[in-house]
Amino acid sequence: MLILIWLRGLLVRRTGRLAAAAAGIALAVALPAALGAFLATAKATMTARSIQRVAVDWQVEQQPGQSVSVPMPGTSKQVSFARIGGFESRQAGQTLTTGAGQVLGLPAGYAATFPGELRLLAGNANGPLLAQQTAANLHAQPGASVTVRRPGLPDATVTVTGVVELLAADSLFQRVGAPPGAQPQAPPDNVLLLPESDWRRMFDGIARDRVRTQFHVRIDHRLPPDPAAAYTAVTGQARNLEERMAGSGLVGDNLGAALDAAREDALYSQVLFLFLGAPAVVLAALLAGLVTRTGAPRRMAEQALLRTRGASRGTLVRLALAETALVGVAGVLAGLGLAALAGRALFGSANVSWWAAALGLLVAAVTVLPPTLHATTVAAARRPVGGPRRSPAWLRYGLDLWLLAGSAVVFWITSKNGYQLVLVPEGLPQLSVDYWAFAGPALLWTGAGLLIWRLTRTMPITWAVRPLAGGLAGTVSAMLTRQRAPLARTATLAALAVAFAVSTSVFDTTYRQQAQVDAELTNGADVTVSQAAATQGQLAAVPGVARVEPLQHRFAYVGSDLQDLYGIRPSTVRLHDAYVSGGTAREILDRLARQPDALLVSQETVNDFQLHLGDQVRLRTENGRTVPFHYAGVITEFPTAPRDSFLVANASYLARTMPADTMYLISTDGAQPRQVAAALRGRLGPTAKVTDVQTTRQVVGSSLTAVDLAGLTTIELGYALALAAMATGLLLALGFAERRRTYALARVLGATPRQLGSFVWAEVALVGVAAAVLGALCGWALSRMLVAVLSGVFDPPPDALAVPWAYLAVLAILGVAALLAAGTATVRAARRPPLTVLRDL
Amino acid sequence: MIVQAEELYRFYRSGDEETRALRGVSLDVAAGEVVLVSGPSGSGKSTLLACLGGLDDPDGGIVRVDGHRISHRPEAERAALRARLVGVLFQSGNLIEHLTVAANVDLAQRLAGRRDRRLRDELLDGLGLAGRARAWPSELSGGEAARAGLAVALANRPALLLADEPTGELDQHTEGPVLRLIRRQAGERTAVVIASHSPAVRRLADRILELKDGRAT
Amino acid sequence: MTAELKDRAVGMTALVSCQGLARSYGKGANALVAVHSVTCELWPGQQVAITGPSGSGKTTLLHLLAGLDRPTAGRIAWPALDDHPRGHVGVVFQGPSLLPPLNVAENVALPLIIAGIDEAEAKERALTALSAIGLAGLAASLPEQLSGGQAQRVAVARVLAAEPRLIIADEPTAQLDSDLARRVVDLLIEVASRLEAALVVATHDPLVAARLPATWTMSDGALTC
Repeated sequence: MLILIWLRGLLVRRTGRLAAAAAGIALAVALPAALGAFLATAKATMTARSIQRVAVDWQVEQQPGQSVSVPMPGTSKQVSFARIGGFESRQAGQTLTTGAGQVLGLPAGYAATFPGELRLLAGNANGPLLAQQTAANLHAQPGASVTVRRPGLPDATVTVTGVVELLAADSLFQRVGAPPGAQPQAPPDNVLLLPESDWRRMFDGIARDRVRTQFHVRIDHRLPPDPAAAYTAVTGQARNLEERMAGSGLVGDNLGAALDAAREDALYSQVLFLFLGAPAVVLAALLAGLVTRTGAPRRMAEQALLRTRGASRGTLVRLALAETALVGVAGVLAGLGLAALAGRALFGSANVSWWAAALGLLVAAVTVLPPTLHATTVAAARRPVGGPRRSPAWLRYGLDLWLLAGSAVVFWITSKNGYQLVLVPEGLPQLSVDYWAFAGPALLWTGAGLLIWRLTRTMPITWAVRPLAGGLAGTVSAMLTRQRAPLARTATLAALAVAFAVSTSVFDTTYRQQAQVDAELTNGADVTVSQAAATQGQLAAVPGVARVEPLQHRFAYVGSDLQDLYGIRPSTVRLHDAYVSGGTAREILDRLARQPDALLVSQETVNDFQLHLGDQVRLRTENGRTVPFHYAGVITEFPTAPRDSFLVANASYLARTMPADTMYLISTDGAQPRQVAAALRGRLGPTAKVTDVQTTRQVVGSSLTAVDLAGLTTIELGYALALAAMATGLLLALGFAERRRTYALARVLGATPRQLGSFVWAEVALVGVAAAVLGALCGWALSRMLVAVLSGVFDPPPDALAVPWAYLAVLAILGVAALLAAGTATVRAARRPPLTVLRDL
Repeated sequence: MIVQAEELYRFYRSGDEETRALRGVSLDVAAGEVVLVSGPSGSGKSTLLACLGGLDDPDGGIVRVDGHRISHRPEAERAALRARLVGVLFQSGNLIEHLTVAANVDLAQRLAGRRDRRLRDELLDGLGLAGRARAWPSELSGGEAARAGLAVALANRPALLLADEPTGELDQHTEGPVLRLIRRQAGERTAVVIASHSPAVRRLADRILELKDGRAT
Repeated sequence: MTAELKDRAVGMTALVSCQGLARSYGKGANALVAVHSVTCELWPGQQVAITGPSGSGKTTLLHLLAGLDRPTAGRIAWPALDDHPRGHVGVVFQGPSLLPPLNVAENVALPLIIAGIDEAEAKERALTALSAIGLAGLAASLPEQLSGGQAQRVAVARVLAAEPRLIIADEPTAQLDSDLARRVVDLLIEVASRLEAALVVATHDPLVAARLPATWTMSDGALTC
């Protein structure tokens, strides 16, 4: 076959070039495929966590006057609820009573089937159980007698065998079928759980409208790993059940609700990380395109010859398609292989991403096919290849500047409105994404890319080359000036690869820094100790502890508002500037140090109580004592404090006026906080509360940030390195290979290897410097904008960008190595006898 | 008649300047006949050959090859006619560099929609390339490359063989055999048109068309 | 060698002197011997055509004479050039030999710049050489804009500008029609005479060979002077 003849020849004689093009495509496939694998893993984790978090998948409530006769799917238990008038108990001659409450009848094995619902705190679970709050209200302990007031029936008495915590009380007492707004404000305070038979005996005769029956269902947990698919499956099953019950029951779909939230998170993470990774995919596609393009003159000559021999356009397209398929398939397989290796190494899963494969084939087609379709006539195909002399339209109309202006406008509008990419509505576990804000960085990317291209196209070559090429400066600059177009393409791509590496790494490091800060704020320090009878000195003696900062904590009223009040030592405590407003952290702390009764309050408090600096603020303790303070500044964040309202004062003043509990913030000496925490726990015994930042970090944050991003960032950063090295080295090397003839001719004319070196190194230096300078600038601008636009994912927002110097050093070293390799290989090749080279061409 | 070309005109425009490459050239070539087109550089030799083979379309006049009109047709139709009826031999660059000599001949046959191993082996044998069938074009000497190019040009058993300076890069010792091969391989049924300034071609030709400034003299 | 030349050679040093020169490609049984046992001398002012069938080793011999290739056996020396042929030999190749990214003037100036001459001066000498050949109008053109004949004449101008002691031309007229071929050869002869350089032209065109005072022939790698 024609195509086979063609491909066999290509495989044998053009292996290097095919491999280079395939490598570009592999790169374009590997990142999205690896991202896909990461997303799949992350989504599966989200689904698994959602399932884990839900105590009872479904609560199917039988409707009044109806009877559910349909069998429940999975495992189900029937639970009965009775609304009663109240409980009463007699303790030490005193009668304690409660308001209205509920008595639940639980069948045998309920606790084992739904372990997330109950936790036994005291006694045993074989008889009547009191909820923790109820037990506290009645001062009841296992063995106590509790009287149940049954409306319409005489009181009944039970002997409590245990006290339990109701872990999922909110959903347990939900109003099934009611919209979110119509749900009870809080679960009932007074709850008694009875074995099913006891419940029946007690409530058989009670009015029907006081009794509800629910079926608690645990459905089959073999669900699709994708939260969205799992959500669809679960809600579908729930609706199917409702349909079969034909109105006799309603499904309270707890699992569906949890998956719904996870589904939003998954969508958000998908958008976010594809957005961060998209530029790299585009760059890899461009790289593949440029690699292919370096073979254009040869391809044109071949096509001209084929047309002369009577090949139709269709034939040329078929041959080009075959070559595309060869390069594309090889590239896609290599890319998927790379992604699978990365996936296996980083998050232990490897899946084949079909859309990444399709993307690779598309890239191959887009880069190889168009030149084929252009050459319509023999005459056109035989014409020598020369770039158009006229500058492209985008350049003439300043598209790059328009895009940058657009980016600035979008950015200004979005940031002016305090518009955040991610909105976290109070009290809801969902995030909602504002896709419009992505436009800013996207416009910046394209605008900056084109601007870099413009700059490299118009770079002052003669001026730049003079110090590099010595006596050959004029010739070298003439040569490079005529090769300006390909040179500019190489330099632009290299610069963009550097920009991607810089922006990704800075964003990533900042993200990690802020996640750490968030965890520190929540936990207070590396390790936090409270409710301990130890002294500061004792704590400092524990191995791994570097610094111990004592902190007073209690509650106090401002007006009618109960707030956390912290007492600190201004001389030793450490605060970030971002945590205070109206000055640096040091200035604010100095005010505290100068004035013993100074008080720092939250912005909300300033607004609510119309405070002005220097105003007196009177704080009230729970037992009514008031202490005067003076308002001295605003504080927005404080370790362990809630976000909205809290107070900070001098520890010494507090100790004198309103004594508080002491807790300790401990910095480790570099030892793992988790281990130091364990050591402290061992030292202080079970009464002390010891928390560490590592554990906290896993707990805080939305389910997205709780997903471990380490694997993902490793992929993106490694990929950025590969891209930068390939863009600089490979493109230069291919460009040099095209000019072998020029170099060989110069050699024949007497040029020494040293003189040839100045041709080569001048080009290497131009590309290297352009890539480093323009890439770093562009990367810096992008990082700033990304951090600003995505500030919603940062909690709290960062003081400054975190710059990963070590990574950037590796990037620089690799880039320089790639440049040196391309240059050295060319100079070395130029040492070959020039006639051998000319003969081979 | 294999070739019937009547009153061919061809103009090229570049900017304000107009080059008249052909100004009313007519030419008939019979099967088995070898015609030399001669003239100084720029006299229109290459343009005439291109128009005869349907590689270029004349602005005026008509070209028929083996009874089929090849001028004033869409490129796709010209390509199909070329594949079937015309063989072209250039001074150099007749071979696809990444295909062996045999594969180059195979490719030309497939483009013409045929597959004839026997013809290929005959051609290579006849041109003294039997031992070089598996060689890469870059491994061939000048004379071998010219003969391989001829094998490719004849792979579709063309009715018309066009040769543009086929021996330009050959010395006289190599030139003679190649020309004799052209003559012999073309045989009875192929018309041959050669553009050349070589005296050896002049001796070989049955007829000579002298061109000057796009006109026959 | 003609009597006249012999007279001129008295008291002169040979430009090139070869003894038992051989060059083969490859090793063992497959080795291809391109040139063998060539013994010859070239003197300043000498003008020679080398003819012979293709594959007879003409090009290889020229490359050896120019110092572009090394012999596998025998001895070659450039006594008048202190054994440093580079910079003193001007070469005109068969195919296109202009550097595509440089314009005509820059191409012509290149050997001078490579030899360490200041760029401005080199440019000036290049323009002088181009004018001498009547190509001053093409100084700013790029090689891709030239016809075959123009490119070959620029290559000759490049040789002229460098003022070499030895000019070597390998089939300089292969792609030109006879009219142009004659003009290029005459130009080479004129340039060589003006520079009092030795000129060696390999050609298969008897008309070209006839324009040179002496003809050496090569056959199967052996040279007959």
